[in-house]
Amino acid sequence: MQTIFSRFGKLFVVLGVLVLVGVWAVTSYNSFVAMNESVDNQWAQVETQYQRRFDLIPNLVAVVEGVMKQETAIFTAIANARQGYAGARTTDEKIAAAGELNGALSRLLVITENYPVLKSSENVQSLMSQLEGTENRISVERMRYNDTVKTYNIKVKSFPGSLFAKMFGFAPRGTFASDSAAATAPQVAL
Amino acid sequence: MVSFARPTMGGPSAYVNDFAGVLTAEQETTLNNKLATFNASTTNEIAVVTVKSMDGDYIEHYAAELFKVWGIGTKKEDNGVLLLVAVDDRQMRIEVGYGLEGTLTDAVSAQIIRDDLTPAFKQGDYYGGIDRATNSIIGVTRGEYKPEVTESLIWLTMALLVIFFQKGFIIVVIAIFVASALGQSKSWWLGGVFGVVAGVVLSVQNSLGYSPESVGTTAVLGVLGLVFDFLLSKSYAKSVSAGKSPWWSPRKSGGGGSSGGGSSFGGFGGGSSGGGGASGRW
Repeated sequence: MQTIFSRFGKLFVVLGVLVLVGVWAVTSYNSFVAMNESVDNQWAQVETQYQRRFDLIPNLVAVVEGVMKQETAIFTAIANARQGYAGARTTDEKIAAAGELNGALSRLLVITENYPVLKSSENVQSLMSQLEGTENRISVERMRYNDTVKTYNIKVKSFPGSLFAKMFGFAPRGTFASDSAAATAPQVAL
Repeated sequence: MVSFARPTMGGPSAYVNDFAGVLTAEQETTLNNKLATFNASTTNEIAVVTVKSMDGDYIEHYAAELFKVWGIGTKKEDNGVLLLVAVDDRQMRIEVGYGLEGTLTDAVSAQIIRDDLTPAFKQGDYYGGIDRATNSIIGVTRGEYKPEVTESLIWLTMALLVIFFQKGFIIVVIAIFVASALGQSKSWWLGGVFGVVAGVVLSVQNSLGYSPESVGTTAVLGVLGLVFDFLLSKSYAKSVSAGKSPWWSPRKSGGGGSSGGGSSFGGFGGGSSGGGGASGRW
Protein backbone atom coordinates (compact mmCIF):
# COMPACT_ATOMS: atom_id res chain seq x y z
CA MET A 1 0.00 0.00 0.00
CA GLN A 2 1.50 3.30 -1.05
CA THR A 3 1.02 6.49 0.94
CA ILE A 4 0.48 9.76 -0.82
CA PHE A 5 3.91 10.86 0.24
CA SER A 6 5.75 7.96 -1.28
CA ARG A 7 3.88 8.39 -4.54
CA PHE A 8 4.26 12.12 -4.81
CA GLY A 9 7.34 12.42 -2.58
CA LYS A 10 9.60 13.73 -5.25
CA LEU A 11 6.96 16.20 -6.36
CA PHE A 12 6.58 17.56 -2.84
CA VAL A 13 10.30 18.08 -2.51
CA VAL A 14 10.49 19.91 -5.79
CA LEU A 15 7.48 22.04 -4.86
CA GLY A 16 9.01 22.80 -1.48
CA VAL A 17 12.24 23.95 -3.04
CA LEU A 18 10.37 26.11 -5.53
CA VAL A 19 8.39 27.78 -2.74
CA LEU A 20 11.55 28.48 -0.79
CA VAL A 21 13.26 29.98 -3.80
CA GLY A 22 10.16 32.02 -4.51
CA VAL A 23 10.12 33.47 -1.01
CA TRP A 24 13.82 34.20 -1.24
CA ALA A 25 13.33 35.97 -4.56
CA VAL A 26 10.57 38.13 -3.16
CA THR A 27 12.56 39.21 -0.10
CA SER A 28 15.57 39.92 -2.26
CA TYR A 29 13.51 41.99 -4.64
CA ASN A 30 12.03 44.02 -1.81
CA SER A 31 15.39 44.75 -0.29
CA PHE A 32 16.75 45.83 -3.67
CA VAL A 33 13.80 48.17 -4.07
CA ALA A 34 14.33 49.64 -0.61
CA MET A 35 18.04 50.18 -1.19
CA ASN A 36 17.44 51.66 -4.59
CA GLU A 37 15.02 54.13 -3.07
CA SER A 38 17.61 55.13 -0.48
CA VAL A 39 20.10 55.84 -3.23
CA ASP A 40 17.56 57.92 -5.15
CA ASN A 41 16.64 59.78 -1.99
CA GLN A 42 20.24 60.58 -1.23
CA TRP A 43 20.74 61.75 -4.82
CA ALA A 44 17.83 64.12 -4.30
CA GLN A 45 19.71 65.56 -1.31
CA VAL A 46 22.75 66.17 -3.48
CA GLU A 47 20.60 67.88 -6.08
CA THR A 48 19.06 70.11 -3.44
CA GLN A 49 22.50 71.44 -2.56
CA TYR A 50 23.41 71.89 -6.24
CA GLN A 51 20.25 73.91 -6.59
CA ARG A 52 21.14 75.99 -3.57
CA ARG A 53 24.50 76.89 -5.11
CA PHE A 54 22.80 77.59 -8.41
CA ASP A 55 20.49 80.05 -6.69
CA LEU A 56 23.24 81.78 -4.68
CA ILE A 57 25.54 82.53 -7.59
CA PRO A 58 23.55 85.39 -9.19
CA ASN A 59 23.73 87.29 -5.89
CA LEU A 60 27.49 87.09 -5.80
CA VAL A 61 27.76 88.01 -9.47
CA ALA A 62 25.51 91.04 -8.96
CA VAL A 63 27.71 92.33 -6.15
CA VAL A 64 31.09 91.86 -7.83
CA GLU A 65 30.15 92.69 -11.40
CA GLY A 66 30.19 96.40 -10.74
CA VAL A 67 33.77 96.35 -9.49
CA MET A 68 35.15 93.68 -11.80
CA LYS A 69 33.84 95.30 -14.93
CA GLN A 70 36.58 94.14 -17.28
CA GLU A 71 36.40 90.47 -16.36
CA THR A 72 33.72 89.79 -18.97
CA ALA A 73 35.05 86.36 -19.89
CA ILE A 74 34.44 84.86 -16.48
CA PHE A 75 30.90 86.23 -16.20
CA THR A 76 30.05 84.82 -19.60
CA ALA A 77 31.45 81.48 -18.52
CA ILE A 78 29.31 81.52 -15.39
CA ALA A 79 26.17 82.48 -17.29
CA ASN A 80 26.74 79.65 -19.75
CA ALA A 81 27.45 77.15 -17.00
CA ARG A 82 24.24 78.15 -15.19
CA GLN A 83 22.26 77.75 -18.35
CA GLY A 84 23.86 74.37 -18.84
CA TYR A 85 22.78 73.25 -15.37
CA ALA A 86 19.24 74.55 -15.80
CA GLY A 87 18.93 72.61 -19.06
CA ALA A 88 20.34 69.32 -17.77
CA ARG A 89 17.79 66.54 -17.50
CA THR A 90 19.39 63.18 -16.77
CA THR A 91 21.49 62.52 -13.69
CA ASP A 92 24.71 62.26 -15.67
CA GLU A 93 23.99 65.52 -17.47
CA LYS A 94 23.33 67.19 -14.14
CA ILE A 95 26.57 65.93 -12.63
CA ALA A 96 28.54 67.15 -15.62
CA ALA A 97 26.80 70.53 -15.62
CA ALA A 98 27.34 70.92 -11.87
CA GLY A 99 31.01 70.24 -12.45
CA GLU A 100 31.20 72.96 -15.11
CA LEU A 101 29.47 75.42 -12.81
CA ASN A 102 31.85 74.52 -10.01
CA GLY A 103 34.81 75.21 -12.26
CA ALA A 104 33.51 78.58 -13.39
CA LEU A 105 32.69 79.57 -9.83
CA SER A 106 36.14 78.62 -8.54
CA ARG A 107 37.71 80.78 -11.23
CA LEU A 108 35.54 83.69 -10.15
CA LEU A 109 36.49 83.23 -6.52
CA VAL A 110 40.20 83.13 -7.37
CA ILE A 111 39.92 86.29 -9.46
CA THR A 112 38.08 88.05 -6.63
CA GLU A 113 41.23 87.63 -4.56
CA ASN A 114 42.84 90.30 -6.74
CA TYR A 115 40.35 92.93 -5.67
CA PRO A 116 41.03 93.94 -2.06
CA VAL A 117 38.04 96.26 -2.11
CA LEU A 118 35.78 93.30 -2.72
CA LYS A 119 37.51 91.09 -0.20
CA SER A 120 36.79 93.51 2.61
CA SER A 121 33.20 94.22 1.59
CA GLU A 122 30.77 92.72 4.08
CA ASN A 123 28.32 91.77 1.35
CA VAL A 124 30.94 89.84 -0.51
CA GLN A 125 32.19 88.17 2.65
CA SER A 126 28.70 87.09 3.57
CA LEU A 127 28.03 85.71 0.09
CA MET A 128 31.38 83.96 -0.02
CA SER A 129 30.69 82.25 3.28
CA GLN A 130 27.28 81.18 2.02
CA LEU A 131 28.87 79.70 -1.07
CA GLU A 132 31.58 77.99 0.96
CA GLY A 133 28.92 76.57 3.24
CA THR A 134 27.01 75.29 0.24
CA GLU A 135 30.14 73.71 -1.21
CA ASN A 136 30.66 71.92 2.09
CA ARG A 137 27.07 70.75 2.14
CA ILE A 138 27.52 69.43 -1.39
CA SER A 139 30.53 67.40 -0.36
CA VAL A 140 28.74 66.04 2.73
CA GLU A 141 25.75 64.95 0.68
CA ARG A 142 27.98 63.45 -2.00
CA MET A 143 29.86 61.52 0.66
CA ARG A 144 26.59 60.18 2.02
CA TYR A 145 25.51 59.34 -1.53
CA ASN A 146 28.68 57.36 -2.06
CA ASP A 147 28.12 55.49 1.21
CA THR A 148 24.56 54.65 0.23
CA VAL A 149 25.63 53.50 -3.22
CA LYS A 150 28.33 51.33 -1.68
CA THR A 151 25.79 49.53 0.51
CA TYR A 152 23.51 49.06 -2.50
CA ASN A 153 26.32 47.78 -4.70
CA ILE A 154 27.43 45.26 -2.12
CA LYS A 155 23.91 43.91 -1.96
CA VAL A 156 23.56 43.75 -5.70
CA LYS A 157 26.95 42.26 -6.42
CA SER A 158 27.16 39.67 -3.63
CA PHE A 159 26.39 36.08 -4.47
CA PRO A 160 23.69 34.74 -4.59
CA GLY A 161 21.79 38.02 -4.48
CA SER A 162 23.48 38.99 -7.73
CA LEU A 163 21.49 36.35 -9.59
CA PHE A 164 18.21 37.86 -8.48
CA ALA A 165 19.49 41.36 -9.11
CA LYS A 166 20.25 40.55 -12.73
CA MET A 167 16.89 38.88 -13.10
CA PHE A 168 15.01 41.89 -11.73
CA GLY A 169 17.14 44.45 -13.47
CA PHE A 170 18.98 46.06 -10.55
CA ALA A 171 22.37 47.11 -11.83
CA PRO A 172 25.27 48.42 -9.74
CA ARG A 173 25.31 52.24 -9.63
CA GLY A 174 28.18 54.65 -9.97
CA THR A 175 29.66 56.73 -7.19
CA PHE A 176 30.83 60.32 -7.46
CA ALA A 177 34.28 60.65 -8.92
CA SER A 178 35.91 64.02 -8.49
CA ASP A 179 35.15 66.42 -11.32
CA SER A 180 37.88 66.49 -13.95
CA ALA A 181 37.96 70.24 -13.48
CA ALA A 182 38.88 69.80 -9.82
CA ALA A 183 42.10 68.05 -10.72
CA THR A 184 43.54 71.19 -12.31
CA ALA A 185 43.71 74.26 -10.08
CA PRO A 186 42.16 77.34 -11.68
CA GLN A 187 44.76 79.63 -13.19
CA VAL A 188 44.59 83.35 -12.62
CA ALA A 189 45.34 85.41 -15.72
CA LEU A 190 47.40 88.42 -14.64
CA MET B 1 49.08 62.97 0.97
CA VAL B 2 45.99 63.70 3.05
CA SER B 3 44.96 61.19 5.66
CA PHE B 4 41.39 61.07 6.82
CA ALA B 5 41.64 60.73 10.57
CA ARG B 6 38.86 59.28 12.66
CA PRO B 7 38.34 61.31 15.85
CA THR B 8 39.81 58.99 18.45
CA MET B 9 39.08 60.72 21.73
CA GLY B 10 36.13 58.60 22.79
CA GLY B 11 32.91 60.09 24.05
CA PRO B 12 32.17 63.58 25.38
CA SER B 13 32.63 64.11 29.12
CA ALA B 14 30.86 67.47 29.23
CA TYR B 15 29.83 70.31 26.94
CA VAL B 16 33.43 71.55 26.99
CA ASN B 17 36.12 69.04 26.02
CA ASP B 18 39.55 70.61 26.20
CA PHE B 19 41.74 67.87 24.74
CA ALA B 20 44.43 70.37 23.79
CA GLY B 21 44.73 71.65 27.35
CA VAL B 22 44.43 75.35 26.52
CA LEU B 23 41.84 76.17 29.20
CA THR B 24 42.28 76.21 32.97
CA ALA B 25 39.99 74.05 35.09
CA GLU B 26 38.17 77.15 36.30
CA GLN B 27 37.59 78.44 32.76
CA GLU B 28 36.33 75.04 31.72
CA THR B 29 33.83 74.91 34.58
CA THR B 30 32.50 78.39 33.94
CA LEU B 31 32.08 77.68 30.25
CA ASN B 32 30.48 74.34 30.96
CA ASN B 33 27.96 75.85 33.35
CA LYS B 34 27.04 78.48 30.81
CA LEU B 35 26.40 75.87 28.13
CA ALA B 36 24.55 73.57 30.51
CA THR B 37 22.25 76.39 31.60
CA PHE B 38 21.60 77.30 27.99
CA ASN B 39 20.77 73.68 27.26
CA ALA B 40 18.38 73.49 30.20
CA SER B 41 16.40 76.48 29.01
CA THR B 42 16.36 75.81 25.27
CA THR B 43 17.41 72.13 24.70
CA ASN B 44 20.05 73.44 22.24
CA GLU B 45 23.36 71.60 22.63
CA ILE B 46 26.58 73.54 22.12
CA ALA B 47 29.76 71.46 22.26
CA VAL B 48 33.21 73.05 22.52
CA VAL B 49 36.13 70.80 21.58
CA THR B 50 39.81 71.68 21.37
CA VAL B 51 42.32 69.24 19.91
CA LYS B 52 46.04 69.52 19.46
CA SER B 53 46.16 68.35 15.87
CA MET B 54 44.00 66.69 13.26
CA ASP B 55 46.89 64.70 11.81
CA GLY B 56 46.52 66.05 8.30
CA ASP B 57 42.75 65.78 8.01
CA TYR B 58 40.58 68.60 6.65
CA ILE B 59 38.79 70.41 9.45
CA GLU B 60 35.49 70.12 7.59
CA HIS B 61 35.80 66.36 7.49
CA TYR B 62 37.07 66.10 11.07
CA ALA B 63 34.26 68.24 12.44
CA ALA B 64 31.63 66.39 10.42
CA GLU B 65 32.85 63.02 11.70
CA LEU B 66 33.00 64.20 15.31
CA PHE B 67 29.55 65.75 15.07
CA LYS B 68 28.16 62.52 13.67
CA VAL B 69 29.85 60.22 16.20
CA TRP B 70 28.84 62.33 19.21
CA GLY B 71 25.39 63.10 17.86
CA ILE B 72 25.24 66.70 19.07
CA GLY B 73 21.74 68.13 19.37
CA THR B 74 18.46 66.40 20.17
CA LYS B 75 17.35 63.69 17.79
CA LYS B 76 14.05 65.37 17.15
CA GLU B 77 15.22 68.94 16.51
CA ASP B 78 18.86 68.45 15.39
CA ASN B 79 19.66 71.59 17.36
CA GLY B 80 23.37 71.11 17.97
CA VAL B 81 26.47 73.23 17.39
CA LEU B 82 30.09 72.10 17.47
CA LEU B 83 32.86 74.66 18.01
CA LEU B 84 36.07 72.86 17.10
CA VAL B 85 39.53 74.36 17.58
CA ALA B 86 42.62 72.56 16.25
CA VAL B 87 45.36 74.38 18.14
CA ASP B 88 48.53 73.21 16.41
CA ASP B 89 46.90 73.36 12.96
CA ARG B 90 45.63 76.87 13.77
CA GLN B 91 42.19 76.13 12.32
CA MET B 92 38.71 76.35 13.73
CA ARG B 93 35.26 75.41 12.57
CA ILE B 94 31.70 75.98 13.69
CA GLU B 95 29.58 73.03 12.56
CA VAL B 96 25.84 73.68 12.75
CA GLY B 97 23.08 71.08 13.05
CA TYR B 98 20.14 71.07 10.65
CA GLY B 99 17.77 72.57 13.19
CA LEU B 100 19.80 75.72 13.84
CA GLU B 101 20.81 76.54 10.27
CA GLY B 102 17.97 79.03 10.10
CA THR B 103 19.50 81.49 12.57
CA LEU B 104 23.10 80.33 12.88
CA THR B 105 23.63 80.62 9.14
CA ASP B 106 26.90 80.08 7.33
CA ALA B 107 27.36 83.83 7.08
CA VAL B 108 26.80 84.35 10.81
CA SER B 109 29.17 81.49 11.64
CA ALA B 110 31.82 83.03 9.43
CA GLN B 111 31.29 86.36 11.13
CA ILE B 112 31.66 84.82 14.57
CA ILE B 113 34.90 83.22 13.44
CA ARG B 114 36.14 86.50 12.00
CA ASP B 115 35.14 88.81 14.84
CA ASP B 116 35.13 86.68 18.01
CA LEU B 117 37.66 83.92 17.47
CA THR B 118 40.38 85.06 15.08
CA PRO B 119 41.56 88.22 16.87
CA ALA B 120 41.63 86.46 20.26
CA PHE B 121 43.33 83.33 18.96
CA LYS B 122 45.98 85.44 17.24
CA GLN B 123 46.88 86.66 20.73
CA GLY B 124 46.79 83.18 22.19
CA ASP B 125 43.69 84.04 24.24
CA TYR B 126 41.76 80.82 23.70
CA TYR B 127 39.35 81.28 26.57
CA GLY B 128 38.48 84.84 25.59
CA GLY B 129 37.75 83.88 22.01
CA ILE B 130 35.71 80.81 22.88
CA ASP B 131 33.82 82.74 25.55
CA ARG B 132 32.83 85.49 23.15
CA ALA B 133 31.99 83.04 20.38
CA THR B 134 29.72 80.95 22.61
CA ASN B 135 27.97 84.12 23.78
CA SER B 136 27.33 85.04 20.15
CA ILE B 137 26.07 81.57 19.33
CA ILE B 138 23.79 81.62 22.37
CA GLY B 139 22.45 85.04 21.42
CA VAL B 140 21.68 83.95 17.89
CA THR B 141 20.08 80.61 18.67
CA ARG B 142 18.25 81.51 21.84
CA GLY B 143 14.89 82.17 20.27
CA GLU B 144 14.79 79.09 18.07
CA TYR B 145 13.01 76.63 20.30
CA LYS B 146 10.61 78.21 22.75
CA PRO B 147 9.01 76.40 25.69
CA GLU B 148 5.58 75.29 24.69
CA VAL B 149 2.33 77.07 25.49
CA THR B 150 1.45 74.39 28.03
CA GLU B 151 4.04 75.82 30.41
CA SER B 152 2.33 79.23 30.46
CA LEU B 153 -1.06 77.63 30.88
CA ILE B 154 0.17 75.81 33.95
CA TRP B 155 1.16 79.15 35.46
CA LEU B 156 -2.27 80.54 34.60
CA THR B 157 -4.08 77.65 36.18
CA MET B 158 -2.00 77.88 39.32
CA ALA B 159 -2.79 81.59 39.49
CA LEU B 160 -6.49 80.84 39.18
CA LEU B 161 -6.24 78.31 41.99
CA VAL B 162 -4.58 80.89 44.22
CA ILE B 163 -7.29 83.41 43.43
CA PHE B 164 -9.98 80.90 44.27
CA PHE B 165 -8.31 79.73 47.43
CA GLN B 166 -7.73 83.12 48.96
CA LYS B 167 -6.88 81.31 52.15
CA GLY B 168 -3.26 81.33 51.16
CA PHE B 169 -0.16 79.67 49.82
CA ILE B 170 -0.47 76.52 51.88
CA ILE B 171 -3.11 75.45 49.42
CA VAL B 172 -0.81 76.16 46.50
CA VAL B 173 2.01 74.16 48.07
CA ILE B 174 -0.34 71.24 48.64
CA ALA B 175 -1.51 71.68 45.07
CA ILE B 176 2.04 71.43 43.78
CA PHE B 177 2.66 68.19 45.62
CA VAL B 178 -0.59 66.77 44.44
CA ALA B 179 0.35 67.96 40.99
CA SER B 180 3.47 65.82 40.96
CA ALA B 181 1.39 62.81 41.72
CA LEU B 182 -1.23 63.78 39.17
CA GLY B 183 1.20 64.68 36.45
CA GLN B 184 3.14 61.48 36.55
CA SER B 185 0.17 59.50 35.42
CA LYS B 186 -0.85 59.77 31.82
CA SER B 187 -4.56 59.98 32.55
CA TRP B 188 -6.11 63.22 33.68
CA TRP B 189 -9.45 62.35 35.17
CA LEU B 190 -7.86 62.19 38.61
CA GLY B 191 -7.43 65.93 38.59
CA GLY B 192 -11.11 66.36 37.92
CA VAL B 193 -11.98 64.07 40.81
CA PHE B 194 -9.71 66.02 43.09
CA GLY B 195 -11.25 69.28 41.96
CA VAL B 196 -14.75 68.04 42.70
CA VAL B 197 -13.71 66.72 46.10
CA ALA B 198 -12.04 70.04 46.91
CA GLY B 199 -15.20 71.83 45.90
CA VAL B 200 -17.36 69.68 48.16
CA VAL B 201 -14.96 70.10 51.07
CA LEU B 202 -14.96 73.87 50.59
CA SER B 203 -18.73 74.04 50.46
CA VAL B 204 -19.09 71.98 53.61
CA GLN B 205 -16.43 74.06 55.34
CA ASN B 206 -18.17 77.29 54.49
CA SER B 207 -21.52 75.84 55.45
CA LEU B 208 -22.90 76.47 52.03
CA GLY B 209 -24.93 73.33 51.94
CA TYR B 210 -26.54 72.34 48.71
CA SER B 211 -26.86 75.68 46.93
CA PRO B 212 -25.98 77.28 43.58
CA GLU B 213 -22.75 78.59 45.09
CA SER B 214 -21.55 75.21 46.24
CA VAL B 215 -22.53 73.47 43.01
CA GLY B 216 -20.90 76.22 41.00
CA THR B 217 -17.69 76.11 43.01
CA THR B 218 -17.53 72.34 42.79
CA ALA B 219 -18.11 72.39 39.04
CA VAL B 220 -15.49 75.06 38.40
CA LEU B 221 -12.95 73.34 40.59
CA GLY B 222 -13.68 70.04 38.90
CA VAL B 223 -13.04 71.51 35.47
CA LEU B 224 -9.94 73.35 36.68
CA GLY B 225 -8.66 70.11 38.15
CA LEU B 226 -9.20 68.27 34.87
CA VAL B 227 -7.43 70.95 32.85
CA PHE B 228 -4.61 71.18 35.35
CA ASP B 229 -3.96 67.47 35.34
CA PHE B 230 -4.12 67.34 31.57
CA LEU B 231 -1.51 70.07 31.21
CA LEU B 232 0.71 68.52 33.85
CA SER B 233 0.59 65.11 32.24
CA LYS B 234 1.47 66.58 28.87
CA SER B 235 4.31 68.63 30.30
CA TYR B 236 5.66 65.66 32.22
CA ALA B 237 5.55 63.41 29.19
CA LYS B 238 7.37 66.03 27.16
CA SER B 239 10.05 66.48 29.80
CA VAL B 240 10.58 62.77 30.13
CA SER B 241 11.03 62.41 26.39
CA ALA B 242 13.60 65.21 26.48
CA GLY B 243 15.41 63.40 29.26
CA LYS B 244 14.79 65.89 32.07
CA SER B 245 12.46 66.26 35.01
CA PRO B 246 9.90 69.11 34.73
CA TRP B 247 10.49 72.34 36.63
CA TRP B 248 7.41 71.96 38.79
CA SER B 249 8.26 68.56 40.23
CA PRO B 250 9.79 68.86 43.70
CA ARG B 251 10.99 65.28 43.81
CA LYS B 252 13.91 65.39 41.42
CA SER B 253 15.38 68.85 41.40
CA GLY B 254 17.28 68.83 38.15
CA GLY B 255 18.32 72.45 38.48
CA GLY B 256 20.85 71.78 41.22
CA GLY B 257 22.99 69.45 39.17
CA SER B 258 24.61 72.03 36.94
CA SER B 259 26.59 73.88 39.58
CA GLY B 260 29.95 72.28 40.21
CA GLY B 261 28.98 68.62 40.09
CA GLY B 262 29.68 67.81 36.44
CA SER B 263 28.17 64.42 37.07
CA SER B 264 24.89 65.37 35.50
CA PHE B 265 26.12 65.34 31.88
CA GLY B 266 24.45 62.46 30.14
CA GLY B 267 25.82 62.74 26.63
CA PHE B 268 24.36 64.41 23.59
CA GLY B 269 20.97 63.76 22.08
CA GLY B 270 21.78 62.09 18.76
CA GLY B 271 21.26 65.03 16.42
CA SER B 272 22.86 65.41 13.02
CA SER B 273 24.30 68.09 10.78
CA GLY B 274 24.35 68.58 7.03
CA GLY B 275 27.68 70.34 6.76
CA GLY B 276 26.47 73.86 7.52
CA GLY B 277 28.63 76.40 9.33
CA ALA B 278 31.99 77.95 8.56
CA SER B 279 35.71 77.35 8.94
CA GLY B 280 38.61 79.66 9.52
CA ARG B 281 42.28 79.81 10.32
CA TRP B 282 44.41 82.19 12.29
